[in-house]
Amino acid sequence: MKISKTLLQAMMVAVTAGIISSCEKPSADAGKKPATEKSKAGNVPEGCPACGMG
Amino acid sequence: MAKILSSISCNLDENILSAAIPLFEAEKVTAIEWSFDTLYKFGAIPEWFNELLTTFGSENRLVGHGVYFSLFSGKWSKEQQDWLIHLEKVSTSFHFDHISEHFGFMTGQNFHHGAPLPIPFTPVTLAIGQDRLKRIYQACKCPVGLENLAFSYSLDEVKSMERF
Repeated sequence: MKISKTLLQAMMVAVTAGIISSCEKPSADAGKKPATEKSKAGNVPEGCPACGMG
Repeated sequence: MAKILSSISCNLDENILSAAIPLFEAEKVTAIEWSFDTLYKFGAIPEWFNELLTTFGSENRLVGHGVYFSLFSGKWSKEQQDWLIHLEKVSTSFHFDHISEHFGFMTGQNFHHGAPLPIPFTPVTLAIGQDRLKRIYQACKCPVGLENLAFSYSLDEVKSMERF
């Protein structure tokens, strides 16, 4: 299906500029907090919009 | 047999869109699936993504996919009610060819912390599933389907889902 060049360009800009991201990034002070049982299990993404579950 | 359309899952995700842009450019994508309930971390849909959904929706080439409804949960939850309200809202904004949800149940919002679970094939479970499918239909007013993706441990189990 054909989509407009304007739309394609807008998508490219969003991706290139990093406006969107795969998962919520850990907060800046996350590393300062003591490790909990959950965080010891690994850096698990929150609210991932792109997981294979989709 | 219905014509098979070359389709991709298309969400607000950098990696997915990076891979998808060349396909859109080459006009190879004939339909898209959007996981409409994964937006809770975003304040609003960007205008360009809105246009993308509208473009495919206007050609009956947009599929709405749900991840978090937890179709077979026995106890009706506020989260499920909110999910239906959200579906009703997005269904007025975008034209879905159909809606799909997962076969199974999963009440934790973050599935990275707990896998979705298969269901016992009993009359009670069946009734719950039928009720939930009706509620989804009432919200979206379009056909509703189920996806068994992560809820099967064998081919035989997939076949038993079909019979169920």
